[in-house]
Amino acid sequence: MVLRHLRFLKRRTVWLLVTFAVLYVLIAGRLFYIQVLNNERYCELAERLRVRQLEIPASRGSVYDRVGRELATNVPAFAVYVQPKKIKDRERVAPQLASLTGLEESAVVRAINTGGTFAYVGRQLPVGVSDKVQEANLPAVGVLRETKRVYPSRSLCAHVLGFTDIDGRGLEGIERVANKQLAGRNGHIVAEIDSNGRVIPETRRGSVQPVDGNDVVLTIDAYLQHAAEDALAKSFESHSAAGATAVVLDPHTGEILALANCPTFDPNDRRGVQPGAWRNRAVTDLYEPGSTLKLLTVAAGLEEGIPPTEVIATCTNGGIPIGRRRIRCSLHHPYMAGHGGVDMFKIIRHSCNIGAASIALRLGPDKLYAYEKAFGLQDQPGSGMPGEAPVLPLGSPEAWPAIRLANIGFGQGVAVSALQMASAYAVIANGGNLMSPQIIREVRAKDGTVVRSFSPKLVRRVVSEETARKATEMLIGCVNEGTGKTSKIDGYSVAGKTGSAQKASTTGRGYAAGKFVASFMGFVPARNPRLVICVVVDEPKGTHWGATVAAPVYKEIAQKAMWYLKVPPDEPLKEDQTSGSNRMNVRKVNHRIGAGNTG
Amino acid sequence: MVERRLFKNFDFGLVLLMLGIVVYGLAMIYSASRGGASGASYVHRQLTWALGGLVAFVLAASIDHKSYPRISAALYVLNLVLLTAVLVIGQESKGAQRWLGFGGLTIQPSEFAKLVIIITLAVFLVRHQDRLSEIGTFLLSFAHVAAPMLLIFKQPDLGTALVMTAIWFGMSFVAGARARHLAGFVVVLMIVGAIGWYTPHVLKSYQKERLVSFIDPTVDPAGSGYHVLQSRIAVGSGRATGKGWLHGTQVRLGFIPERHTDFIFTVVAEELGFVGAGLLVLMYFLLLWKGILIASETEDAVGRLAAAGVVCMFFFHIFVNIGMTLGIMPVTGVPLPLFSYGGSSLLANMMALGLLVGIGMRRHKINF
Repeated sequence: MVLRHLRFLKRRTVWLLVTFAVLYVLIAGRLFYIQVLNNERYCELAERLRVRQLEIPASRGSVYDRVGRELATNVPAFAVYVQPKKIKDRERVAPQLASLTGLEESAVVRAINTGGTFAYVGRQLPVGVSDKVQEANLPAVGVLRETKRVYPSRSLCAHVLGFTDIDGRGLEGIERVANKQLAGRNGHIVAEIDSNGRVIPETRRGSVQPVDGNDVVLTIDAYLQHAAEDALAKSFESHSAAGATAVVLDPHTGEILALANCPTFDPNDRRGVQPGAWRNRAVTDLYEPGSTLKLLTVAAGLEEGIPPTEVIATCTNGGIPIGRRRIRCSLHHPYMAGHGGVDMFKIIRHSCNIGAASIALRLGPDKLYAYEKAFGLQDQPGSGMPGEAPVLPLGSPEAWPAIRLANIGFGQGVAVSALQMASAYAVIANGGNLMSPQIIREVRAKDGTVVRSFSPKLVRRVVSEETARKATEMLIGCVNEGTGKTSKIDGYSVAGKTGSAQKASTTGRGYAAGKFVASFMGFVPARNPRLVICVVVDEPKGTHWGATVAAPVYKEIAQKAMWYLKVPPDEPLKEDQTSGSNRMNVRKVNHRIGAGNTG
Repeated sequence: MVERRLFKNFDFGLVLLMLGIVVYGLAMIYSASRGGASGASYVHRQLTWALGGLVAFVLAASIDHKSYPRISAALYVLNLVLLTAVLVIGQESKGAQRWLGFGGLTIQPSEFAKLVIIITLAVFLVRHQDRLSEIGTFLLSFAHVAAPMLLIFKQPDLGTALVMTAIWFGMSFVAGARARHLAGFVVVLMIVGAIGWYTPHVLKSYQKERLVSFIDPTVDPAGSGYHVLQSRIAVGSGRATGKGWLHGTQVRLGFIPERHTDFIFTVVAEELGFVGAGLLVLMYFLLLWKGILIASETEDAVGRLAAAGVVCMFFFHIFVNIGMTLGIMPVTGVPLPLFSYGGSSLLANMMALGLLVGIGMRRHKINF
């Protein structure tokens, strides 16, 4: 019995041995398979797990004004992140992290609750915060270096500069169009990491250095920019306007020296900014120029041989009939009964609609259209700034009824941008050439070598020098004796023209009652122009005359610019100006834009 | 106490294997705990336990297994008392209450519970050997194990509870339980497992996660599947000859969890490759082989069953642990015997081998 039982036990023990042996072979076979037969795959996985390519961000290029004042640059900043999976007691970590970073506790909790392997708690935090976080040495909390884009002069030139997103990619303005140049190329290092994602320094095996972004030098002059913004804001606010824009050009090169818009914003902190305030109205918005366009009509007439002193029409307070419609002038003292017989000088001086319409009718649709086109009103300006409004085509001139032709003659029924008008006025200022407007002067590498420079671009000759000279005299007359008197600057000859256009109704038919666009544009000094200045104020309240709303802006910009550019007066000074205080003003403003380098 | 004649059958080979594995383990513990001072302190502690283990080995070997029936009842009760004490006054670590403190020492009674069960179950099975083919006796034998097992499961320590099941399964098989009863048991176990899975609070969520990630580690590769995958990568990238002692990248860089305890085999495989891992597997095989020989040659039924129990325990530990690091068994937290860092486990395992050697020495009823 006992022996039989023992034999049975022995048999069972053998079975046990067999079972074990089979399972054992399984283990050994598996080990052999993983380590010897199939190890390539695991080696590769191990390598991939351990070796990482870590980005070294390139430093984004700065943006400077034409004389080297910094408009956009970078400062070091830090991001704080958590590894939510590794956080054991969030109840303790969250409030601690919140108090260290100064962020809302709810934001920290939200980051932790994402539950992944990585989540930002806060970004673009100052150096002090990162130091505190690093000192606290909380588990699963880390700090990353990054840079923060800053605009040291705050809202100055905001519309031209635009802004970037939090990762430094340009979204608007120059930041957007020149993003490729500014961004540079990120470098990387290849190194081993531990299971917490930390780099092990001695394992670095090769790196590609980042190529820093290039610097962009704008054609903008920060001083003139500031002067333009300052003057424009005053009018914008005092007339409770819907918008306003001012463009200052170098007429000989087409370089944009200043470009201001209202309302404006601070690109450093865009929270709560209405998107409308981001709009670079000078290029994105079209408006009906009204009387300022008469200059182009007159220039076309001159170029086509109409003598400047020939009386073209007789203006009465009843207006003149065209087809079934009637066009009128807005009349002021002492011309309440009409401008009477008008020649080109008088048309510009007193802004006579009937006279301008008559020239248009005399030229005919084809010729007038050809000149509008030649002055660049039917092409996008190509300034290099994003968002230029598409052209509103005037349609084929053969189909224009007479009333349309007449309206276009004095600037109604045609849509332009402020930049287009500024360029058109530059044609008269520089002696007849349309220059392509330009915002980027050059692109420089970080070491200062010029990567790309942009030279002035002639689009076409539009009118002869003689025409331009005569048209200039007419504009001087407008400032000295006509509607543009409010823009007169002591000591300088000023060329300018007012505009007070009705705004097209938003319904698409006719004009909106009581809504005007007041404008003033011209150039100084009139006989040796240094600057073209174009001021447009949208929907001013109370008064809508270009002379009262826009001309004072023009005057302020022009006056400051003449002092700043040290342009010698070309006319006798009427009063004894205390030039010393003027120079002091220049210095004061310079100080505000935070620049010492005015070379 | 130990008669000289017994040394004729003293299995020096088994002792050498045991010491070889322990020393090998010390070397790997040093590497797994990143060498240096921290490695040395782990090695120091493990070495102290190993010396204690040697004493335990000698003591265990000196016990004549013919005395098992006399001490069985007392051992069984003592075991239950200790396991209950763990649940009441035990020390907690990493969410489980498995340890008892005695002065400066902490011991893990569940490690010794396995030995107690091997002895008392052997006695039980021999006492009931005539009726073992009856279902009632078969179930009673399981109940014998189930009481301490439930206490261990409560700690919670699923791994050890499973080891005890395996010990019972192997021993009752060898003792003569019917194959269909055993097969039926497996079916019931699966049903209970399924119910346990879907009944809240029976299995801890981490236990479930481990099982899910065992079946498909890619379900949550960054989470619970992470360790399984990382371990397999480490093993695979060790290739034939390994990355060198102290040079396992997966180990050094902290990708391997519990690397000096449950995942120490991964360290061996990564650093010493198939050569080193295969050597360890071979050493275990020889150890088990010797155990089986003792079990099959011992003329006393209790001794034979106890020997089989020790072999089952070792085999299950080895299979589940290595299988886990290779991704063919789920992660259950079963240490590699004699090798993983852990005092109670080392001591208990050396004691178990002491029992085995003791049985082997006295395998012949008549030694003259």
